[in-house]
Amino acid sequence: MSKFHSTVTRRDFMRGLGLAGAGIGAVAAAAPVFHDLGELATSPKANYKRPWYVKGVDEPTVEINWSILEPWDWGYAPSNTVIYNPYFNGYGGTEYGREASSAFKAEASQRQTDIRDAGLAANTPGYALRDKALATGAGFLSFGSGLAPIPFGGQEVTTPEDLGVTKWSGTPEEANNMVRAAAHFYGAANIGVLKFDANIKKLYYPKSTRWEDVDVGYQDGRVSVIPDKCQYIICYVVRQSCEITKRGIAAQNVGGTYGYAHGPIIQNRLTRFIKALGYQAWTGGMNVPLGIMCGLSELGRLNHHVTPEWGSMIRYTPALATDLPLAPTKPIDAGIHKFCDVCKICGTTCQELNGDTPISLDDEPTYEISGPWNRVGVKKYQHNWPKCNFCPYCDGSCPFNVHGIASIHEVIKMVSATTPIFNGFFANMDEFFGYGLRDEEDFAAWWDRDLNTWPYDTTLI
Amino acid sequence: MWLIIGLVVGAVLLALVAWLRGRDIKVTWYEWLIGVVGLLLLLFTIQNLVGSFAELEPTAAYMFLLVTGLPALILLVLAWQLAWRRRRAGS
Repeated sequence: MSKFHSTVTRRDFMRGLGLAGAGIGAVAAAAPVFHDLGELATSPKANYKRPWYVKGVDEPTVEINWSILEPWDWGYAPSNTVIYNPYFNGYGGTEYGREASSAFKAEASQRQTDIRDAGLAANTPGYALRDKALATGAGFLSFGSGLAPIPFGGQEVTTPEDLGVTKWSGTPEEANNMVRAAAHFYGAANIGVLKFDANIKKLYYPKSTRWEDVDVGYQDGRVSVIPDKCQYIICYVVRQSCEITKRGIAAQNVGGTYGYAHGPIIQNRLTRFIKALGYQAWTGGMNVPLGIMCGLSELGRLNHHVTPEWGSMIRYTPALATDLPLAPTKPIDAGIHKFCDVCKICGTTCQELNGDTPISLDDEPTYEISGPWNRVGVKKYQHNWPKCNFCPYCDGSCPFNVHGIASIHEVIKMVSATTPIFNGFFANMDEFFGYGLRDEEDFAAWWDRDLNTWPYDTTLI
Repeated sequence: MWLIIGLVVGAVLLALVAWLRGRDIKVTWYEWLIGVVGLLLLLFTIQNLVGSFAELEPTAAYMFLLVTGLPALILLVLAWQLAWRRRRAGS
């Protein structure tokens, strides 16, 4: 025994044991425990808790002049789009440099088509036949095509009345939790809620929506009629694979297509759910402004949603108008719209790869529209839509698109949400650290990914 | 995993304190501060290195080794050297 000598005294040893035990106990105490669904529904932990730096605000970070903002639609005389933007992705007129913009778009589109065709012929990774087939498979039910016609208002379901019970009732907060929990199961990562007012109604397409004091909504030709009593709007997030969208224009990039395939499925599941509770659900509305107004995202320079959780990697936030009483959720300020002032990565990436860009590279947002394809009344980076090829370069390059495993991302989001002074540095570091679109060597590697550990293939993305 | 890392780091720190006491080595408050900052930076580097590889961002992973890993090592060595040289000068 005399040969053994420890520098740790018995007191120090017991002290160390006690510290370790206290630490384990603290971790255990912090874990939430629910005993039943009722407790879950009213628990603050059941809400979708966002980090502290994502703040709810009364007005969205994008400045809106509601007094001059009017309903906007394609081919709609009051918004001067009959000639300039008669339909989605269709442009006419000779003012606003429209012809030059359209010529650029046609050229960029042809260039990208040539790249894809050449890649297919040469079996280039990302452009090869199997990649194109991947896109074909992912396109099943995209935009609902292939689904049997579903009436406005959804399929018939068994209602509480049919079951001989009263329809679901609870507090608006409980309703939010419940709808969010169901929506998450159906494939929507988050929901937001709005209440209709005169301004929110401006965010619906006037040619295809109107409101009436009726008991049940209906379709009047091409116009969807929403009952006045449906005072609430549920916006739900349809995500888009961040990893696959980083493939740029390669055929392997099926992110957008896949999102548009999930969207109608989630919509119909959620509609059936709400109807089975005893309430109504009616589709419609402009997803980007509605999603911003209910706090799912902020408006990015690229005129898409940019969320604090997934960056621009959500496909869209469709809306359902309902008479289920819900608790409206506020717009958010996570410093994202402000970050866009100095970042410009979406625009410079587009410019570098396409030769020019429809994304405004101005240093500040403006109310001055680039043409009637922009709606009046929003101070933003006005997008030159006739020039836009709708390719995914901008979408995949946003620095807020991160997988969120490395802790640096949370640190940067926290700092940029609190102060904008480091935003330029962070944007530069995004490029210095090599984030952004994937290289071609990643395209081939994707087919050999380890499926036992690959975390990026789920129905939620 | 982080619970285990925390337990290991805690155990190593306790062992270090015990060893310093056993050798009667005094460490000033600023040497402790430099050492702790270096250790935190090292842990930050390791987390981001592993996390960046998991995010399929190898360039970012190697950048962390350079941008935060190197300063972490410098701080740790500095803390050690400050205490060591002060002890040698005093003895």
